[in-house]
Amino acid sequence: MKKLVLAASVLAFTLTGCSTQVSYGDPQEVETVDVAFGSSDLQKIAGEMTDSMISSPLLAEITANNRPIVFVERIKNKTTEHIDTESVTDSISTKLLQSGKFRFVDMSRVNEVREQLDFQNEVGLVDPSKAIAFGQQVGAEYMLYGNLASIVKTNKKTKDVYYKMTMRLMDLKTGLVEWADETEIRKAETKSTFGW
Amino acid sequence: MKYLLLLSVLLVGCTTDTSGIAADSGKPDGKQWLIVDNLNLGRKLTIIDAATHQGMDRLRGVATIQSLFKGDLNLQYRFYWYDSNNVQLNNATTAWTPLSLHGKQQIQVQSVALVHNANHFKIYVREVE
Repeated sequence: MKKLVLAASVLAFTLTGCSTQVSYGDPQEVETVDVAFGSSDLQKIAGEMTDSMISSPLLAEITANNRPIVFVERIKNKTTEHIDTESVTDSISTKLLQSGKFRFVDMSRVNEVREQLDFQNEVGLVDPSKAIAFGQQVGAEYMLYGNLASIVKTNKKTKDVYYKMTMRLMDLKTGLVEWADETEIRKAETKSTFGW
Repeated sequence: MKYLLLLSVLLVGCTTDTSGIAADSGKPDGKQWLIVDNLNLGRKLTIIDAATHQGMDRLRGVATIQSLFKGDLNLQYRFYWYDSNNVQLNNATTAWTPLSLHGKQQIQVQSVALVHNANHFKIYVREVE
């Protein structure tokens, strides 16, 4: 009987160990799963770039009395990993829009907008007096663009990754770069000889 | 009883203290307000200044973190912005940011309030286990 109880309890412990657990975490938490580009890096870059653009004296003149219209070109990924740079761009433009100092035109939705205007003006289902006419959109005055580069060094024990994000704001009329900033991130992964 | 005590000591040893120290820039008398939730970290680290400055047209929050410890410290800090009614502004609140401090190093960290109704901030610093 005793053996049976012992066996049952061992089995119960083993089975408990195998169960999968799902839990929610803090989305703003620092993530250190590995040295690859992660959520903390995205949040750091988006935060620092937004802070810099909002508080830069270089942009004081152009944001003093109006909200400049900006077109965001996708950030070029020059690193060796796959990074969704559109997500970085989205975070930066959302924060800048929320600050109320810039306005944006979204070039990634041009085809959908054209389809909708075609529908309103050409299909004949929409009241012509209320249909939005072509040629009324406002063009961008500035272009925001950037590069994300990395330097990776590895030896037997350590992997060191350095990320550098550069962003620039160009006046589309004159071609002058009105603002630029860069932010850096260094991450290292060390394998211990002993331990888990 | 002896084993139970030993077990409880072992279990306490396994729990991670995720608390840290905080400073508020909005103390009514103008002095910094430092809260030490983690005494162990409080002995190794202090925030010597937390103040807001009027930038262009957004508030800029600046805090000076000083290490009192001779070794390296792996930390994270986070800025929380509040309006004049002490309501947290979620869109202006930043994420946890990693920070490494070398022995006795002093560093200034800053954040710009995204929205113009921000009034004061709270900075929270904790140690990474």
